[in-house]
Amino acid sequence: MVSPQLRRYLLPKEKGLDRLFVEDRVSEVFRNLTHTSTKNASILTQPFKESKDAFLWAVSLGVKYGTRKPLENKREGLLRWDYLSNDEKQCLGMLALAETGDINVLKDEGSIQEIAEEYANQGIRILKQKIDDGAGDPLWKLVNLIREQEIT
Amino acid sequence: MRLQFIRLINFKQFYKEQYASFSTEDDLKVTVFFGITGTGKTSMFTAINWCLYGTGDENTGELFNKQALDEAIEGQKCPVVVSIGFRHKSIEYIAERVRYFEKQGQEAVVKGNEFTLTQIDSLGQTKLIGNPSGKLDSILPANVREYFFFNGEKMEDLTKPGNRKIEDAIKNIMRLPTIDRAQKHLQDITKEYRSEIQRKGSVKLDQLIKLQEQYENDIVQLKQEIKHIDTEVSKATKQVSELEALLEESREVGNLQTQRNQYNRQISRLEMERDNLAQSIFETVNKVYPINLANNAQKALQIINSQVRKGKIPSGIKEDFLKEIIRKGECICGRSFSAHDECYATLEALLNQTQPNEFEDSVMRLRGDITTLSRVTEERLANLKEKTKNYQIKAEDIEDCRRRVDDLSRRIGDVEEVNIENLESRREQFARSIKFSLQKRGQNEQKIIQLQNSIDGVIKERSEEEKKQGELRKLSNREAMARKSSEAITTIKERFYEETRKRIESETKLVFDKLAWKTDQFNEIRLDPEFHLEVIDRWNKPSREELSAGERQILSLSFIAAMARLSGEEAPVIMDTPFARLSGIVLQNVAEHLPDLLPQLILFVTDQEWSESSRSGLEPKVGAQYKFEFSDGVTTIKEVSFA
Repeated sequence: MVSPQLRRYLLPKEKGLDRLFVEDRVSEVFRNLTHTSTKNASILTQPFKESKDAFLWAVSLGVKYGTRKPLENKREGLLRWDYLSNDEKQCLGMLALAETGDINVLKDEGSIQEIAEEYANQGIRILKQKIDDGAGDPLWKLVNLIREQEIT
Repeated sequence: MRLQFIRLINFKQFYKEQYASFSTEDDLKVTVFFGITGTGKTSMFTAINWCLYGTGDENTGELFNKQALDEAIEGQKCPVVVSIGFRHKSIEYIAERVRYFEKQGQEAVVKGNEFTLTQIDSLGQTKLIGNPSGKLDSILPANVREYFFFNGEKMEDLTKPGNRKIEDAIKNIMRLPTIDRAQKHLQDITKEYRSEIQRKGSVKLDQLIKLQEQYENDIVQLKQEIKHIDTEVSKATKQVSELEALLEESREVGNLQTQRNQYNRQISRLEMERDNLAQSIFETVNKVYPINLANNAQKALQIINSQVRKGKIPSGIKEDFLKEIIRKGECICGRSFSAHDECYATLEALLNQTQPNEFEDSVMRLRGDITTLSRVTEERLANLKEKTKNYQIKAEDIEDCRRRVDDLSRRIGDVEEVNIENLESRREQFARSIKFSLQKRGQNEQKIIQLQNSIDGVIKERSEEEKKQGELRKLSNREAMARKSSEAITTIKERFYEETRKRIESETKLVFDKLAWKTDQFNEIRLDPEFHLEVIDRWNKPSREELSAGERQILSLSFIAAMARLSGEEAPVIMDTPFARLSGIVLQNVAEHLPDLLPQLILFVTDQEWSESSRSGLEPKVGAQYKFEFSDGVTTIKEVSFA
């Protein structure tokens, strides 16, 4: 089977994959924090509505802490690319543009996805660390995180 | 289904052939049959049930008309016929049930039965339905029929305390058994596939499947416990409100209890508002992820702006324009050129510098979106801040009310009056038991989540193990499919049950408000998770046991009308002796509003029931009325014209 990485390489540049990938070892973290992927979910303990929201937040935190972490080989598709709204895709495009400085990256869905995945790969680890740190519900920890970021 | 006509031949006291058509018009949807006791109302009601479902004739004596039997020749085969014409989903049908009798002395001996269902199209072409009972069951199931065709005098039994019929009625009318069957079927299939995998697979696989089944059984057990807890909580809550009502009536602490009730109500309201805020915070949190992307947004904007400044985007010359000139081989000045000309090379170089129109548009859109995104995120953050602040205020208000409730409880507890002490201590006991039950419920829910995670782990391990044995893959996929479908249908079922319960609750209350007269006396109608119907009075006290027979009939009627409306079945409601226990304003309300709540209404009333009160409300909606005239041992159906 061709790996997503190789598939991404083999595909024409402007065409990305149909999914966004995360490392196998962190997929559980995404799921556990997502309302729709958890049985008997509560908004307090599963603060993300859908996988895409958890992914976008992970990207955001990855960016905040300024690191991209390439995905290891064992990975799984977290969500379909087309589940993202146009605004969300634009946001990731904007990130890729700022990252590469090349306007042509906006034609290259594969690169946009790869940059987002790498930020999310680092961001989800930070998110887990923040959520596991101390007592309290994940939703309020996320709210506190937002407040801290507003201040800084 | 709307009934169009009925034809009877020698059915009970209806001698020879008799016919009546039912009114089917939307604004004249009521058909009334009236007559004094013993003239044939119940026989006609029986005829409808017997024709369509073959039931109802068990305890009502001989079917064959006695006059016809007397006139028959010894050994002659005579039929009793009931035909009913009806329309269902724009198709017309005639259902006909025939029972053949043979005269033997003074007796009519049954010699056979026939039941046919004929479909008739607009051109008059007929088609005999192969499985008439099955077809009829699909139109209005037999187990549902009794809630549409019923005896008014027995109707109040439906809502008598302790009657389990409500649950059956809901389940049958809303076709819930179909979901139960589907769930069971999928569970059986899952089991079959598992057994096969266990037979063919390794020892480890067998162990994993056993472990998975153990976890699944534990979940079922925990869910049953939760259901039991819910019932206990519901009972204890009822006890608490009854005890609180008694405390409120007392001279010594009535005032304190009223205050405690007020604070408790305030807590409920505040908790609801707090939960709504939490939901709204949750929604907003999910949308403010761009908060960390502000620098990137600025950078991206600079890049786009620099491209714009350099004139690269949007490019000076449009791609389409250049392509068109190259295709035509003609410059805008009219000069022709060919592929080897310098002019061609210049145009091609220019073309390479342009961006596709679509891309240019998307970049320009992105420029606008970045500005919007930053503004919208700022707004959302401000909104989140406001909501979080309000959430904290609500939490503090709740805490404040709780402290006041504690204080009031202490003051009530301090009253040295045996009866009050006793009531308060029992109230506290029940309130405590509710808390512990809810705690246990929460623990069970948590355990279910853990077990579900464990199941996911086992499934992963199973999948690794199954990969080793290629031939198990197909089986494993099928088992997974059946299991997931079963889980999905279980979730759907739970949600559907809950939704159905709530819809029936509110619809019954809506109808009850229209039909009853002491509407301000009754605050709420509740259907608990076990489908027990309860009426809550203005003092928030359960009062079903205190309802009069007439009020119970109204409650039953409201429930039936609500079910008929929600079931999606377009079926006539046929009521025998519907108003026997009603009088005055209630009767007027029922007569006036009931027709509007149902698609078709057929009533068999006594002359007493067909009084001024019922007539004044019903008559504007009556499309046909008949009188049963009894003479010489036979009943004749006479159409009555409107005065």
